[in-house]
Amino acid sequence: MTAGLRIHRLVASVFSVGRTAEGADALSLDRIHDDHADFVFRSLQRLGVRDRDLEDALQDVFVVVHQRLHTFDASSRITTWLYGICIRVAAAHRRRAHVRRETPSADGEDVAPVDPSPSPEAVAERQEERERLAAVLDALPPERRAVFVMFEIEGFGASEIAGMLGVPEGTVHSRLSTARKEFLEAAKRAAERERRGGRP
Amino acid sequence: MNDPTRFLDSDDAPEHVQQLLAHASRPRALDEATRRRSRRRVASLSAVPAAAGAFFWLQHLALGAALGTVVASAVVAPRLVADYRAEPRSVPVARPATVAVPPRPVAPAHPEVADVPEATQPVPTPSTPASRGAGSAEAGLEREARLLERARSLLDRGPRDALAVLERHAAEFPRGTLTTERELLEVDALVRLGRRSAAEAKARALRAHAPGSIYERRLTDLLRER
Repeated sequence: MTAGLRIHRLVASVFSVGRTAEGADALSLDRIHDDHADFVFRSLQRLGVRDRDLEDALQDVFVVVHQRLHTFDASSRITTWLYGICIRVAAAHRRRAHVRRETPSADGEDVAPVDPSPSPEAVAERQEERERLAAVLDALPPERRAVFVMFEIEGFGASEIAGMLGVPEGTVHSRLSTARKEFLEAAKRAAERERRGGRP
Repeated sequence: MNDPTRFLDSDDAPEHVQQLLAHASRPRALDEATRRRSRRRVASLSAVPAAAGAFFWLQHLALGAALGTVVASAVVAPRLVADYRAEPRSVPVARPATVAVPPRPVAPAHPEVADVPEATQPVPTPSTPASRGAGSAEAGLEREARLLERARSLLDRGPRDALAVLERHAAEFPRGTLTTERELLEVDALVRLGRRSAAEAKARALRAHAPGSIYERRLTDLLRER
């Protein structure tokens, strides 16, 4: 290890003495991947990255981690920093999807596959419901969408979400409150469109 | 603040909203095949610095130099000015000296401390920093950082041992580049040992000769935490 890198890690760790017990080792790219790839993968989904883009987005996150690791301030949680990168990567993927004029689930590949054991009609129905949900969730800005998904779909409490995202619990409540209102409005608009015979 | 009732559990939520959420799937976990592929790509990224060679080296050398500049301007420079004023101009330029570093009472139960070489070490001569070559400066910085890393890693389970390593750093590098970092770690170790007044005195001294240092906030937190 070069002196420069050693000093960088030392400074990063001194900022958070007593909080990052594993210190420098925890700051290696491989180790970050081993420890947090699943968190990144799930976060990207919560932020609205489509199934087909997930693996590319995961890779994009770790490219950024590789490039920006020297800027990581160890006084903050690594998951908070990773989540910040996920937000930007997810936004870029969503913009690209928009440019490609991809509707969220136009070809049925954008939502997680459903269990194929029920009848084909039931599978098709559930797939359609998921596409509807994906379209409504797309109306939410990424950060509020993620909090909404974590609370309403994954069943986490606000304090758990605050811990995972590294934000105050009050911030989670605030984001959740706004997200719920936005979701209700988007769901209402989608229901009205369906009644008028439009696409969900 | 209490969590709101989830839409699916609420009697007030519109039916179409509950229908939407009824079949929602949770984000799926990272499957093993994707994890393996991703891990391979990350491993190839990790290899980039070695391949990039000079660029990577220069990048981190610049980082170290920037840190050194910050510390130098806050701590070392005033001392050098004081030295310059105190010493007669006829003092000859000294060559790097080599002295025996007395072994510190570090418990052998901590191999990471024991493996710090106890042999003679080149001692920086702060009055003549420019006379040292880049190689020896780099080696000195490397050893300073290594000693402080050792001390930091010992804080949790052996603050007394950490303090011993820091004393060794102070003996070897009385005017080292990482003096501020050492003093911050000393404050932390003293607080952990319950030597509150010593910690506060050390913190006052640190603030006096490095006012507004990048560790100001951490210093405040340390004295407040325990």
